[in-house]
Amino acid sequence: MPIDFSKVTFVYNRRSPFQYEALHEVNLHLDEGKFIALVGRTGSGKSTLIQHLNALLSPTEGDVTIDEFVNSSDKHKRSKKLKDLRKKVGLVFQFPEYQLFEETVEKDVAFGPKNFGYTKDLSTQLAHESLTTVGLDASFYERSPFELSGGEKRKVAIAGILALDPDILVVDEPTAGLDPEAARETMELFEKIHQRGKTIILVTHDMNIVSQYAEEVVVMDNGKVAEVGTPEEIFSHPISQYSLEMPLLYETARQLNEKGYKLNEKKIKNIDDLASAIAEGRKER
Amino acid sequence: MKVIEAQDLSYSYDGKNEALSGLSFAVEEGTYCALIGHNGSGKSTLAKILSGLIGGYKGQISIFGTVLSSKTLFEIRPRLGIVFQNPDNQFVGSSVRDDIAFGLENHCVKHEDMDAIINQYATEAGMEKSLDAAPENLSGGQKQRVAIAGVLAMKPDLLIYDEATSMLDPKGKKEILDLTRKMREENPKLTILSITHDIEEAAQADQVLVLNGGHLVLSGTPKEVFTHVDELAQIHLDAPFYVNLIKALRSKGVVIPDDIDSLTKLEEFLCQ
Repeated sequence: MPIDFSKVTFVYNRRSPFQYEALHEVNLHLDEGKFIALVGRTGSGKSTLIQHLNALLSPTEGDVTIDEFVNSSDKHKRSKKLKDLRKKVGLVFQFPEYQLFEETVEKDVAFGPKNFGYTKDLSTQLAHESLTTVGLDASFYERSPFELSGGEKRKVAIAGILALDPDILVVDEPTAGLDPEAARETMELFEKIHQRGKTIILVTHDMNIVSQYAEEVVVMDNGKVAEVGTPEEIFSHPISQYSLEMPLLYETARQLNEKGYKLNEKKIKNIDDLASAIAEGRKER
Repeated sequence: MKVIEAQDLSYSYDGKNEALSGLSFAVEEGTYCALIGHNGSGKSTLAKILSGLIGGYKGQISIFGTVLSSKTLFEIRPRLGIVFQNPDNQFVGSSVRDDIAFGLENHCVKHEDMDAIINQYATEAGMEKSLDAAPENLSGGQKQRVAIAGVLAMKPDLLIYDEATSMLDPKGKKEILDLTRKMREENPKLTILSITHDIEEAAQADQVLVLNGGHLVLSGTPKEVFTHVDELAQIHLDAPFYVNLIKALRSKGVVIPDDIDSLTKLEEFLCQ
């Protein structure tokens, strides 16, 4: 399901003293099945943008089109069953573990399907499948979600979204507050889901993760889409004007190039590539 | 002077499994101490004990040379500030100004002095233009800067960051770390215990404590701690980027001297 934003403007608290324009005439096309990173400083409009994807927000002006669904400012144009969009687009908020509420892990994950009218048995079966996907085995089913570790809680919360088998998975800062190992596990999980042909939209401040996983990067700035490109394209020029930090890999290459090295940033994908390039460079010096 | 001194500290939530076992360490006055470890390693338990939120532990912990107990807690607490991870859990005011004022009111700061103090710390945290903004109109990063401004306005002697910057964007994070640095320059006695997952931040600290499964597994200067790359990897912790790059370079036959302890120094060496 490709996603299209057409001249989307969103204003919070319209016609009040707190009126605030979070999105300004955003045009954006996102292809199906891609791993997309959505980046930009705090307050640049990322969270507002993703809430349009499953109709938690509707545009103040403009249309968002996803498959046959139209989320429009115009009530007549807006799809009637817009809530069905939420089966297709799963949104994992920041700190999703705070939304756990059931007595057992199994019930918590099955809540989504049950809420969409699936039978109890089917919901439980879907819950088991998605818990397997996130790497939690049957020993977790009857445990209280509240006695789990932070990383496990987050997996349960993500499983709750995956239980509806969404075609587009939107995740907002999924690694925040996780230790590096749990963060890596979480990212590998999204990579696995992406391999199954799903679209992943990842909101993150961590450019190291972006350079590792994303196929396409959308840079937001001041309520607008500032740039779209591959990670190598985005990181081959300065990005500090967006308050983004260059991944250490590219920053180091850039620093060394300023001091006389001739490292080709577009060929560097990991620390080994960088070390090889530096070793080569030293021979030539 | 030792600002924090833990002796054989153990704690169990359920009486069976130990969240902390036999922890002994000291943090000297004026130190920037980074506490790293897995989720579930006991970091947050330690922070809760330090701030007096949980008692009933074995062993002893002293803060500012005073043994922490229910009797001494209220002597110690005014000198101790904590900033938590999630800004939504600590915003109490109905505006930025009120939120910073809340702590000052509790500390009985005179009303006529308050405005100046609020302005000063709001400016330092980059929130001076939003003094009248309500929390629901602020982003997470902005709220966290308000929380930090509110705590810094208390002029604490010991500041605990419980993953305080993990929700901020790189610029917000840098601003907070710069602000913290400035506070330490102005008040060299300020001690900071930063619970963090940011290995690069830990690499810049004065002291690093590594917890795993409730045990203190490594402690020392960043250079001392991060030479144990394999031990860190065993407990699934990364080494800082410069350490990994040195390792990768050495494997390609590049000779790197042992005294290099930062990325800047490594870059300088490579460009000699």
